[in-house]
Amino acid sequence: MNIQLIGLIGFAIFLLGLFGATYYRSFLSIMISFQLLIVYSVINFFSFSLFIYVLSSWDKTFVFFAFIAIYTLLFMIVFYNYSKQTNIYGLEVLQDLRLFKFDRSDWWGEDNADTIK
Amino acid sequence: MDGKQILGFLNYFILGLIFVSGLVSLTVIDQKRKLTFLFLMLLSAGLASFLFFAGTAFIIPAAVLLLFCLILFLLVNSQQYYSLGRDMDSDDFLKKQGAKPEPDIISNLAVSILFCMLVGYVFFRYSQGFYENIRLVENFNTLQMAALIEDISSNYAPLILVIICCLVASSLWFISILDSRRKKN
Amino acid sequence: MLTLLNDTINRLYPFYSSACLAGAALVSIFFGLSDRKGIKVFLIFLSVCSIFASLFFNIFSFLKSGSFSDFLFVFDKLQVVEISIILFSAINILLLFSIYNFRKQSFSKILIIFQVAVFLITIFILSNNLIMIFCSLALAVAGIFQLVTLLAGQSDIRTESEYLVKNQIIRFFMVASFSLIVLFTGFSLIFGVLDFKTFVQIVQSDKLENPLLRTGLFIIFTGIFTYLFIFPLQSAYIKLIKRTEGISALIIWFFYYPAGIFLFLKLFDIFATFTGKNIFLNAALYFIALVCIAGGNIGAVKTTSLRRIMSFLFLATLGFSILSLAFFSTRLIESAAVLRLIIANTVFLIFIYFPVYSIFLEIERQKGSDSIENIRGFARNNKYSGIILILILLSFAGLAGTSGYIVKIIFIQPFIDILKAQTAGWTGSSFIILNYTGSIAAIAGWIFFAANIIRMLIYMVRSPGKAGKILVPKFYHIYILFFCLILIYTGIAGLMELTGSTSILTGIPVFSFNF
Repeated sequence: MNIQLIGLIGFAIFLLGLFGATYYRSFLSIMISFQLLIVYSVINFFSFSLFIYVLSSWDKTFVFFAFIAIYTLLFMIVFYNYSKQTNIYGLEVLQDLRLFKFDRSDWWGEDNADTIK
Repeated sequence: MDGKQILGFLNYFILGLIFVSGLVSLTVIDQKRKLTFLFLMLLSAGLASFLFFAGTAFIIPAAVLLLFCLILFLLVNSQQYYSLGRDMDSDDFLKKQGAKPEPDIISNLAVSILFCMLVGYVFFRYSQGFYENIRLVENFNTLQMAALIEDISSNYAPLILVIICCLVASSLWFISILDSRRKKN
Repeated sequence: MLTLLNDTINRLYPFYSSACLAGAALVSIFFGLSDRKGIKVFLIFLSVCSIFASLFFNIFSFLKSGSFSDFLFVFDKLQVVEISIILFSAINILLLFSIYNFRKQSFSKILIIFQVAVFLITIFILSNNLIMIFCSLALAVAGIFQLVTLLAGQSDIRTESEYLVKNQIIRFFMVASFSLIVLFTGFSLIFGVLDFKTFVQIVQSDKLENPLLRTGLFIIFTGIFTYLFIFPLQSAYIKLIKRTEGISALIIWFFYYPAGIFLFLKLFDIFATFTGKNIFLNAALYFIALVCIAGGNIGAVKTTSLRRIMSFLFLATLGFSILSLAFFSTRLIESAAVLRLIIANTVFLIFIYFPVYSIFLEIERQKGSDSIENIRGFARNNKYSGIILILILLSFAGLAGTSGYIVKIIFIQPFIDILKAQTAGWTGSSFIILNYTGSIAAIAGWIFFAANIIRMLIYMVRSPGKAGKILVPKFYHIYILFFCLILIYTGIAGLMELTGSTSILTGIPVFSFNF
């Protein structure tokens, strides 16, 4: 096992997650992108621990607590979305939740975007 | 083939599987298929962690991940069930909708790809030096669960208390949110 | 028994303030499921007492026992000030929340979650260990999410606007989650260099030139940038503030944003190590600051929604804090001055936004919209609160003699040096162009900022016309007077200090307070 190759594959996973988080508009796709980013971080922690450190507990402790913290937040967001469904499939699946949008109303003028597109 | 080579091959194969299932999960349109490939990706990540990296120390993070997957599964299924009904397929729905492509799809795609390429180039260029100077251990060793739990309980007890406080508050939040659903039903 | 009590109390240091909040939350849980009016009043009383007690113990325990540092936590002057900021914000949010949401069905539950959220933020402020910092921040954001969602209403989605509010809440917190995940990635890269446990270890190590460490730190700073919704990533923040329930905006401004600013302050020493050497980094800081100031001001001037104006001006003020970092990066000001400015800006925003926004919220409640037309003639119909509000807004604009100029005067100094041709210290420096540009742009930004405030003032002093009369309850007169007096008092104290007189602010220097 080569740490550099593992790092490169991991980074490819990171880039895929980053692309997904910046491009996709659907809730599920963005959540999937987040999982890819988290997987990369976990690969980093564990591979560095295996190759560089002897019996390190820091990485596992970090992953243990970070998972609880991040997934508590993500769980709540998903649960909130689940509890506030409109029962209109188009609205649920085709909603635009792009994280980083460049809309004119965010820079200038009024926010008249109160219509469902 | 040497045992180490087989292990190495398995490692790269599982990492590759994570990437491929992640990619497929993002590109397919149907929600349920997205979930399927997401689960496959997370399963591969869990396998890689168990087999090669962390051993049994990954059990609790895996349990947390499982809970999250459960709520995602509930979300997607309830969206489909309550919105479309049991028999209708989401593919049919999307075809009926005649989903029009967004007007800015190409610009969004281009910006995202360029941004990722820039990040990739910068990272690749600046991390090369690190791998050249790295000193690797002679033997691979992973910490056992018991040692990890002892470390956590002796050093991170306050954080466990904080998490418990947050979970108690979260349970009140869940009760409040569920109350409204009960009234709706 | 007494010895045991004494031991417990000593062991609890420095968590007295957190313990008060946690204790109040624990007691409140027993009443949490009741919606009776008497119980609600009791819970409000309990919360207020616990926050005041926390504030008292926070300052008193530090004065008595001094600094504290261990594997997980640190408690020093900076932490005392940060916790005081959060607790003071909490008191004000609690007050306004009780006024506007008393009749809400889940009032008691929201109050308990509010107490826990404040508790989590105080734990985050005290954190020193990287795991502790990350996890407490993530859980604090989760607490803030709970508050915002419960305040947004628990009924089913029946209208378009409710659907859009839900979407914007989800979008905002998904960006926050993204920033946390990016932070997590940064920490994972740092681990590849050495298993650093705190940021102090990173600064003191000899690994600062390591490319992986630098990449990890860069990613962490990017995470903070994303967390704070700095231009051009402001979309989710601007949209949420416009649509969300009134008190949620205050929670975002004074719980969520300070957490991000305090996270940056934990990394300030690392930031200081890297700036001053790299002209591209310094130029990038100036660019970000000026885009933030310009974007905030332009956004505020082109809208008639009071909430959008306030949210843009908030970002513009954040831009001024970033500009102070840029000034520090080219060594126009020293690091102690930057820390002072960032904390002062945060405190200043509290003293401006709470009184102003509470009045705007009351007007919005009466009129049904947050249009700037609704404040037309406000100062004529409400002479007393009108005058106080005008003074507060003038302070926001930076009028000398009020607190506003204290946080902006530092930007004048380099400009004065230019006018007096005393830039000899700048000559030969590769940053001279940046210094010139930054100084002139800072003044221009300040003038533009003041113009935005004057626009609001003009509406307030105009004749009411079709807007009709708006009368705010007498309670607001006392509430905003309190803030106005403090703004004027600190402003005068600062002026006296500048002219060489002793500070009248209980001996605490305004311009030379060090952390």
